[in-house]
Amino acid sequence: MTKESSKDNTKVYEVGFHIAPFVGEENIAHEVSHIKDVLDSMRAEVISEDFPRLRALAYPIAKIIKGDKKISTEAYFGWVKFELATDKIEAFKKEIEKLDNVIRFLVITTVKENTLYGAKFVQDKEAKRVEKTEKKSEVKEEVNEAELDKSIENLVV
Amino acid sequence: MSVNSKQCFFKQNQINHIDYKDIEILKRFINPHGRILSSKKTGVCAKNQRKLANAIKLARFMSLMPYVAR
Repeated sequence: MTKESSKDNTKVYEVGFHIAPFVGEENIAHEVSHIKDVLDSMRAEVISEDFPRLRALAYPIAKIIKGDKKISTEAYFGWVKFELATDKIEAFKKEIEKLDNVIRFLVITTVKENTLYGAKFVQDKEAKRVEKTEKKSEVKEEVNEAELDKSIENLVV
Repeated sequence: MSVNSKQCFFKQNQINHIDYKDIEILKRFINPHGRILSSKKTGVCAKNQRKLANAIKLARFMSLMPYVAR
């Protein structure tokens, strides 16, 4: 019973975070390990993750780091999906807030399954475009052949 | 095309959970100024429109999408 009740108290969460660009690509793994260490210390079960990648921000984000205001227009965005006890999530948020190089983060409840479909739709769109252009070129060729036949017949007559 | 004949994009594609990180999908539902399009224009059902609005707002907070553009 105790095991069941403890399982009932867990939820699937996801933390999305921006790591400051001045950290450098070689130190990103180190920064991610900080977040994972916090998760390990709280006995969270990591479900899936995406390694941070540099991307342009829609608007600049400012953060005061050691008394110095730093404005970032790009950042390394990554996320980790994990299962954690509901009573520990507030403590987790406070721990992440303490990390200086994490300029912004967001914790949400989510589901275990993959929720990203964007790439699939982009691929589908591209495939459709290619099909359309191929069809158009085929149709054009057919018309050309018919025109050629007609013109040849006219010439013969 | 009338509004009634449109089907919800998310129902058509069997998307149950709208993710704030899925920018490629969310972009379809904002106008050039960055405002959320109404369900009248997009044909998204009321249930998914609420989920979509939440996802766009989270994406804005994370600076993945703009609050205002142009």
